[in-house]
Amino acid sequence: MSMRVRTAVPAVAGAIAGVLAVAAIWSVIASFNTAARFPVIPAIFQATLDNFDAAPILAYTTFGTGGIWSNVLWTAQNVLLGVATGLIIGFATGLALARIPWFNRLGRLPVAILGTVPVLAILPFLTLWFGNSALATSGLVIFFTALTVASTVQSAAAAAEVRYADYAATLGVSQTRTTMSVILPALVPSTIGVVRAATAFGWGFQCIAEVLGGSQGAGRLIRSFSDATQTAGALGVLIVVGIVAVVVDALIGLAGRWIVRWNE
Amino acid sequence: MTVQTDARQLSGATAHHAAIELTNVCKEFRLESGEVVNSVNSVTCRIEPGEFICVIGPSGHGKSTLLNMIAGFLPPTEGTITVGGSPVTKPGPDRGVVFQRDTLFLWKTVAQNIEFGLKSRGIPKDERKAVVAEMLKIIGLEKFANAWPKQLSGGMRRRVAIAAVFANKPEVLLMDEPFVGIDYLRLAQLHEVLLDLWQEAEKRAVFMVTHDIDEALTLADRIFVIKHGTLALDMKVDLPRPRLTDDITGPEANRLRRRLLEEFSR
Repeated sequence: MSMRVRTAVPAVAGAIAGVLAVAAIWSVIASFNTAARFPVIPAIFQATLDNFDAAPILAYTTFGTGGIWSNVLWTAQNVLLGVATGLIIGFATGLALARIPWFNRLGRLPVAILGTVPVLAILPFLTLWFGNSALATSGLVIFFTALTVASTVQSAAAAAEVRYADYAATLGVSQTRTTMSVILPALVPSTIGVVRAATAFGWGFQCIAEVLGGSQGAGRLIRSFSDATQTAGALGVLIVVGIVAVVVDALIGLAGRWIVRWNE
Repeated sequence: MTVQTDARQLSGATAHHAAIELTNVCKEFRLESGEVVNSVNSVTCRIEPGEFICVIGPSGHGKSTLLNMIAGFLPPTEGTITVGGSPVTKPGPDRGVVFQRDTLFLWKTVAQNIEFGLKSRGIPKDERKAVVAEMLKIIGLEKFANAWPKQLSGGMRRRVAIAAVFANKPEVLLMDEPFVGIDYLRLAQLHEVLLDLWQEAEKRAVFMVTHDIDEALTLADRIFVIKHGTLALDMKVDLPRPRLTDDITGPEANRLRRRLLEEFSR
C-alpha cells in the first residue's frame, strides 16, 4: 500500500510570500500616487478597523446600518445560499439529463442555449423581476452554479454509466438502485470540484450584483465607499471578502477531502 | 419446450440444461457507410456446467461480441442463446462478468465491493458476511477488507473484481480479457485464485476471452478459436490439473499449442 505524506508548510510559506510580494508592489505604486487612488497599506488597515463594526458612510448613501463585517457576512450568506440552491437545481437537472431519456430530449437544447448566455447579461432581468431583494443579487450565483453543475454532472453521470451500469446489471442491481448506489456516489468528486469553483466565482458575481443593484452586502458597501472616494475603505472591504472567501474555500476543501477520502 | 420437459418428467428422465447453449448465433453491425459487417457467423456450441472455456482468436474477429451477446449487452441478429435453459434477453445476475476495465466501486471498501451484489438482491446480512469472509480468504486479501480500491495494486484489484463476481454466485462467469497488462508473476497468482474460486463452485462454467495461448492452456477444459466470426476450432484440453510448468511445457501441451498456431495461421 502506498501512502502519500502531506505537509502544509510549503503551501503556507508560499501563500505568505505571495501576499508579501503583492504588498511590496502595492507599496511601490502607492508611493507614487495619491491616497484617493492608491492608499498606503497602513491607511487601508486603519479604514478597515474604523469601519469594521459600523460604517458611517452607509447612513449617507443607503440609510443603512452595519459595518464591513456584517455586510461581508450578508454577502457570504447569499453566496452560500446561492451556491446551495444552484447545486440542488443543477445536480437534479444534470442527473435527469443523463438518466431520463425523455428529459434529455426535452431539456438538452434549452440547457445548451442557457449555457451560452453571458452570466452578467442576466443581471438586468433579475433586477427587473425581483427588484433589489436578496434573490435578485443571488440570482447570478444560482444561475452560474446551476449551469456549471448541470453540465458537469451530466457528463460525469454519462461516464459513470459507461463504466458501471453494465457491471451493476450483471450483479442483479435494479435501475433505481444503480442510480442511487452507483451513479450518485460516482458523481461526488467532480461535483465537489465544481462547487468549489462555483463558490470562488460566486463571490465575484454576488459582489457585482450588489454593486449594481443591491441594498446591502459587501458590494453595496464598496460602492458607497467608492462614491465617497474613500478608496481605503473600499479596499478594506475587498480584503475582508477575500479572507472570508479563502476560509470558506478551505472549509469546503476539507469537507470535500473527507467526503471523497476514498479517492485520495 | 414446456411439452418436451413435461414429457421428460413424465418418463422419469432428468432434464439437463447446458450452462450456455448457442444455436446458429449471428450478429451483424451496420456501419455509418451503410455497409453490413457480419461480426459473428452462425455459431453453435454447447458448454456444460462446470466447464472452463477459453476463447482465443485474432482481434476484431467476434470474440468479445460473442461474450457481450451471452452477457445480454447485445442482442443476436439471428439464433438463440440460452443460459441454464433460459433464453438470454438482457443482463442478469445468472451471468457474472469480469470486464477488462476496472469496475470496482471506488467509494466502497474491498469487503463492500464483494458484498454489493448480494446486498442489492436482499441476501441476509449474516449470509453476506460469511460469503465475503470466504472470498477474502480465497483471494488472500483478508487484511485488506476495509481498504479502498485505490489503495490496492492492479493485481489485487483484479482479484477483488473476480471475487465480487464469484460472490454473487452466477451460473456462468464471463471474462473479457481480464488479465491484460498484468506481469507474469502476478498473472500466475491470479490464475491460481481464479482456479481456486472456480473449483470451489463446482457447477460454474467459465467463458473467458483471451489473447494468450499459454493462459488458455493453463486454464481451459476446451479452447474455442474464433476466426472471421465463426467457431473455427473447438479443442479439448486433456492436461491434468493442477497444471504445473512441466504440464504446460510438456509434449502434449506443445502438440495442442502447435494445433492452435496452425489454426491461427490457416
